[in-house]
Amino acid sequence: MSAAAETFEQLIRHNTAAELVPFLLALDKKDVLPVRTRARSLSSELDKHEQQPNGQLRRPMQPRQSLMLFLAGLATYSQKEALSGWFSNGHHLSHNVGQLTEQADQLHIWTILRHARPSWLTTWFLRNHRNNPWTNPDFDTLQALMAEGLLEDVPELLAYATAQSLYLLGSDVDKARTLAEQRTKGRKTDHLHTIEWNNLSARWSALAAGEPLPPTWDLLLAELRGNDALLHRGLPLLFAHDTAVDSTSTYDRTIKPFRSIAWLDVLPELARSGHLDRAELLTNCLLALRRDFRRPLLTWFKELFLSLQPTPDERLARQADLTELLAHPLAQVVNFALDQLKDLWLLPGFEVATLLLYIDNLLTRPDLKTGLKSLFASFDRLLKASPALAPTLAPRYATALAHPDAGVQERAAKSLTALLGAKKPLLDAAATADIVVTLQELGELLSTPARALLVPWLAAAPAPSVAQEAYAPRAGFVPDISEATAIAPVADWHELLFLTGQALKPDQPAEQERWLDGLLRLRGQYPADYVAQLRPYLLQAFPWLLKGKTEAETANILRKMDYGRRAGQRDFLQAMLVGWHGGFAQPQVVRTRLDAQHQLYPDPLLGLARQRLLAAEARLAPGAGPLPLLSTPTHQPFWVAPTALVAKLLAYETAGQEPDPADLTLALSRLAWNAPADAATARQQLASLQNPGLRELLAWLLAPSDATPPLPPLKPTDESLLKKATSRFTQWVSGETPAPPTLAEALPWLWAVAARTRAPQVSWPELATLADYPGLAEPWQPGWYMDVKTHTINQSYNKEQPEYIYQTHELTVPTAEPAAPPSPLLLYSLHARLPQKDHSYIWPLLEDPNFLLSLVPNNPAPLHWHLLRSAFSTSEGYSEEQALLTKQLHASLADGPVYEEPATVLLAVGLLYSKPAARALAWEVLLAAADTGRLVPVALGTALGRLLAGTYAPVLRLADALPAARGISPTTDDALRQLLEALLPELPAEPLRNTAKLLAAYADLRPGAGKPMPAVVQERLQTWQSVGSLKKAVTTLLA
Amino acid sequence: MADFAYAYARPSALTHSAKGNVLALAAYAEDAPAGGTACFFSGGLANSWLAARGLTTLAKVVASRFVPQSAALRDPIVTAGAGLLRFEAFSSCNGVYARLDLGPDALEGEFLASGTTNVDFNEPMVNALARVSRTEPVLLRVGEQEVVLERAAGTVTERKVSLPERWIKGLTAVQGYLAEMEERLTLTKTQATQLLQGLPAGALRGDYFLLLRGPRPSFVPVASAGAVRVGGAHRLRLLDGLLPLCESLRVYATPDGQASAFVLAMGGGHEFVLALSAEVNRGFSGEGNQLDTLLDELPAEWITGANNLFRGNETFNPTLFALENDLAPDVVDRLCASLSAMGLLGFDLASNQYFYRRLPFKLERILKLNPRLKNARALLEATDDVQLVGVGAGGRTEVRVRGTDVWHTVLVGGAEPPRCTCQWFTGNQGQRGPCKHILAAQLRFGAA
Repeated sequence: MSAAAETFEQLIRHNTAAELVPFLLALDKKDVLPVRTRARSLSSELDKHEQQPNGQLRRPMQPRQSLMLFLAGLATYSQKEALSGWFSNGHHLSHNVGQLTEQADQLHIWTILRHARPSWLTTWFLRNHRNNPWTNPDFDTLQALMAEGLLEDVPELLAYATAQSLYLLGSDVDKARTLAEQRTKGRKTDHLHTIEWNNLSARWSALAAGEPLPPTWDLLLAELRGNDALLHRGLPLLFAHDTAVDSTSTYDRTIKPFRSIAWLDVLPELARSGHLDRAELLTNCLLALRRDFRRPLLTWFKELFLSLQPTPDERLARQADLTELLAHPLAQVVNFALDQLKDLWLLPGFEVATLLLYIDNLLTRPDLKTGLKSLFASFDRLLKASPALAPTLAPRYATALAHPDAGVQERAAKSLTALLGAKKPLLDAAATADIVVTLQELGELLSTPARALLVPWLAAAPAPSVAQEAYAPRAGFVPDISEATAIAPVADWHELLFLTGQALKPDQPAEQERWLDGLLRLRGQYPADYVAQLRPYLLQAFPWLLKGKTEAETANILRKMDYGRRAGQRDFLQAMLVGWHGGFAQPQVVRTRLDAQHQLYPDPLLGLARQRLLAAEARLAPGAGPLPLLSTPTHQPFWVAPTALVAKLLAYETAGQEPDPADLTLALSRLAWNAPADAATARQQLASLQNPGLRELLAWLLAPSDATPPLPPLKPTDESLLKKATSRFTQWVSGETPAPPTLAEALPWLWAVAARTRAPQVSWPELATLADYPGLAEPWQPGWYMDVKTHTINQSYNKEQPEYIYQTHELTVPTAEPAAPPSPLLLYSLHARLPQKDHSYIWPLLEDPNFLLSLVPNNPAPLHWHLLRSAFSTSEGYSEEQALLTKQLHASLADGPVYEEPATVLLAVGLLYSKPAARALAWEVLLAAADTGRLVPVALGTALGRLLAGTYAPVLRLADALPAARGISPTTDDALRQLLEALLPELPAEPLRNTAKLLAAYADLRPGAGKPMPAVVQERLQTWQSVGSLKKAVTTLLA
Repeated sequence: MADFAYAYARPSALTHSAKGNVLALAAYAEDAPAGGTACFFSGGLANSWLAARGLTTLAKVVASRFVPQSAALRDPIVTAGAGLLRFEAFSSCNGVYARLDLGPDALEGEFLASGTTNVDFNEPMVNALARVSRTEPVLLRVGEQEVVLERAAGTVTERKVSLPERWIKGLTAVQGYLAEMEERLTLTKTQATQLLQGLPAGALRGDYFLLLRGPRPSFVPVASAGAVRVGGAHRLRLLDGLLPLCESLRVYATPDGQASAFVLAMGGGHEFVLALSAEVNRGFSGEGNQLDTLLDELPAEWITGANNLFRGNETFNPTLFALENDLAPDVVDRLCASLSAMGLLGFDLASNQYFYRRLPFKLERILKLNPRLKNARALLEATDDVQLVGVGAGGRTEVRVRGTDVWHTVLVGGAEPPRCTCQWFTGNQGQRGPCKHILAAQLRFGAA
């Protein structure tokens, strides 16, 4: 054991830095390693928090020990130790810790640094800087380290420290004032405050003399003016590095309200007083703006430049630098440059030719709008002064006509029209011909206003597209039940095995249904070692439980498996996997629970899904007959072919088994009852079905789609029987009583499901005899409205405003008082009267939306209403809501019947949602729906109008995307026109911001209408005619 | 695994002198010619402003990261040869590959040697590049004519840069993808300017698909016929400074949509390539798209011979090479995969040719940089970690391969793609190359 290490430990434990320093200075080379090792172990020991008898945690390291270990680190550590966690945090070279270090100890640090000269200091500082810049020394310390050659010249560090110096300076001034006040009042100060006071009073002699400090603003300026290195070495670096200069500030707390002091205040003042070179500042701002810095930093450079109020001469002297900014990718920089250049164009010495080189790359940049309009105004002035430039400028106006923004096009067209139509021709015949050719090539890209201006030169150009094909929503929808859409069953064991991994992923209903079907169909074909082969998937499903466990331990864990309280379809399937692994000897799905957790409630459809899996698991149990599930889809995406259902029911009868009511309910809801050929075949097969109730039900459901037969009289339910049945159903779903109801008990409810599957929106008074509940005699169509909700926040700490009141505008779906449905089989009614207050349903919707939607392909409206109510009351949702919206919108892309009202409102929500990615997807849904005929543009337009009028979202979110959707096809254009004609009348008479953009889009779509403008639209336009911003657009439209 | 350490004798710099501006890129060649680091190129830039824009964008790519990650590197690789300078770099997350090609028309100087080197892209130099103006002549010097690598403590500015191995792994995957790619769209200058217009703001989750709607390029979140899949499309914003400057833009993609590339023809011999991995969280270095090809080891002397040949030729078309040398295409593929696994080959979409990078010829890197292959071989070293269960119809072979705590069922051979019960395969379904279990089974019982 090294004696030096022992001595070192004693010093750390019992002595001070003053005694350690001579030891470290005299340390022999051979002793460095043992001391380093001991320093590390002591650091680790003293830095570890220990629990005290009173239960509190305490870190044994004392401040003196922290300093001494830091000194030891400087003297003995290699780069590896230096870069370890402890050594980098709160070290004594950082400003904050250094301020609390006695001057004598600071001298110790410098003594050791000069002696040891650690080679890793630069790397260490850089690493610290990138991890947490606040741990770095201040500017003066860095400068001193560099001056002594202890630190390499690293501009990055200096730049950051320069930016930070304003805050640190202000912070020190505040501390000094506070401590001075405490001393004046005779308050006791602790040891650290005394050190801090000593350090601060050594810096400002006024403090030591008991005199008041000057005002903060004056003191800051004086300090900065007196720091030559900071002024001439540090400040220029701010323009070459990405620092926090834009957000660094301090406060002058001597005046009330406190005055914020930022670099933007300080630098112009230093320039005014001659401490900074104004010309250099101006140039540096422009050079910094060339970089691809953060947007706020670029804004800061821009503001600094503007705050210096450069004269035209100063800007003219920097025209090259300003011109260079026109190549910047950010529009804000380009607009700034154009703005700074606009009054220089006509000055002598301005080089137009160089500028035009850069201009060519701007003319079609979609992010530039106002700047380009301003540019064209400058062109016009230039042309007026030098008509000879016409051949140079005309092609540029023409190029700008390809800009996607109608306003830019119109402005370019205006200038071009003036140029082409000048009384004294400015262009020769060849140049004019070139321009006309360009105009004709632009074709349909031209917006209506631009086109209107350029009419004289567009005579030979193709006419704008005319909507020959009017859009109309599809009349009916027939599912494709054919070979092309048939779902291939799992072929063999290997396919089943590898499908397991896919089926256990969240919300993969197609794979999950095939897997379930495969489990049942291939039960006799599992290989002898199938349990071992399943084990990798068990591990993937429950890694936290089974990783590293033996077979026996695994079996033991699985025997006592707890699936938690809030289950979903994936949990059910994982339970199936566990059951499968155990040979289905011990049912597992029954162990899953559909309970509420906190305020999160399961979706009621999951009860049916769970019951269906209970039935499947029972059929897989040893000795049971593995009949297939009735509700397994046979055709994409989730249709059950009528012939397949009847064939399975016949197989059940042959096997002497009764169908499971939950399975049968889902089979009915997925039934492609209106696939004519398959339904006709199925009707013929029905005669073989023995059960008269089922036969009658299916004959009714599969009747030809053009003539829905009346429902047979359904027997009124006996009150006591209903109550009993309801009670049993409730128990059944919750899992308390596994025995399901009989088919005979379920049959009346199955009629209700069949009726709403076949005709979701029709009144069925016959069903009123079953119960009075939404979704029986009448469909559940709650509708929606925009509600203004007032919220009050108590803020007693704020005496001026003890209450903060604000309002939100929320999409509200009215819901009746909570009441349980008469049967859990009524899958179209289950959501209608769910409790709302303090109940959240978003998690099950988020986890299983595709699965839930797959259960109700014929009538998803009730689920859509629930979705709308549960997740989209505002357009500013969190990532969960966005994910849910994305899934819903993706599901809407598939072909199907026309969108019902809630699906249309969901699409409207998507088009207005706060997240651009969600809006982009919603537009794709709209375009796809216009293609398939699912879109109901009038309903969508009305919904959008109501949402916008209710301030659900700003108009711009919709208006900005409309131009890109135009011109895709005549049918789509017509659908968009219909949409806008339904939307505009819903908007308020007091126009919303950016209504003009909607009108511009409407103006582009109107020419193809082929019919007069609807009266309600005309009426709304007339009310807006008096509004200045809309007058021009309205007049054009009404002309 | 240790990173490769590169040391620069002094920082790269753009210096101003009475004779003009000189862009001196400090180099460190791992495979340096005897006698020190060579000067690969010295001369003028025909359009210094455009070249500076390209280099600035390259620096932006290197500094970018699209997943939470540690500090960025700023040191691209430059390859001088066949009359071109090719600057290549990856984003810090390794999911974006960028290359600036300066062709003969862009250069007015002399190639003093062929070679590949790291060049130092420090902050002051990036700053200086941003300040190059349109009319400013700049001389470019890659490498140094008189370099003595020595450390004189405290007196010479020397910077060490750790080059992650994933860069070389990334180069392997990228060239594999680029060689597979097909041209899918060509955009005019105006369309290129509008490319990013329809891209929703913010970081995009999920795939986007690029298509032309009428004359407008559009990114849509739904696949359709003819649309190009672009994963993590917001990464294209790295190009926002270059798009208005390009003359045309060609879009390429692999047939399976696992990578896409955007080639900006800048005019005057300047071309910029940006390749994107399939997803933001998929770095090129983690792709195993070359593993199948690397499965069968070629004789070392074949690889050495090919290396010598390509080193001399500097560029070659694989099909022509196969025809000229009477080699089967799959042998050429395996040769290319072996060489690129050491980082030696890159692929030029414009000329449909491989180009050679003068990096060290180290055969051990093939295994070292492909851990899945290495782990598969390790499985084979144990006597019973890979066991045959049976051979089914069409040669479909069932194998049990030892995993962590479990035995995996693996199917290889036959017409269908291989399968495994491991987590990697379940998650990726073979899209990122085979897992080690499949590789081990294929190595023992054959891939076909």
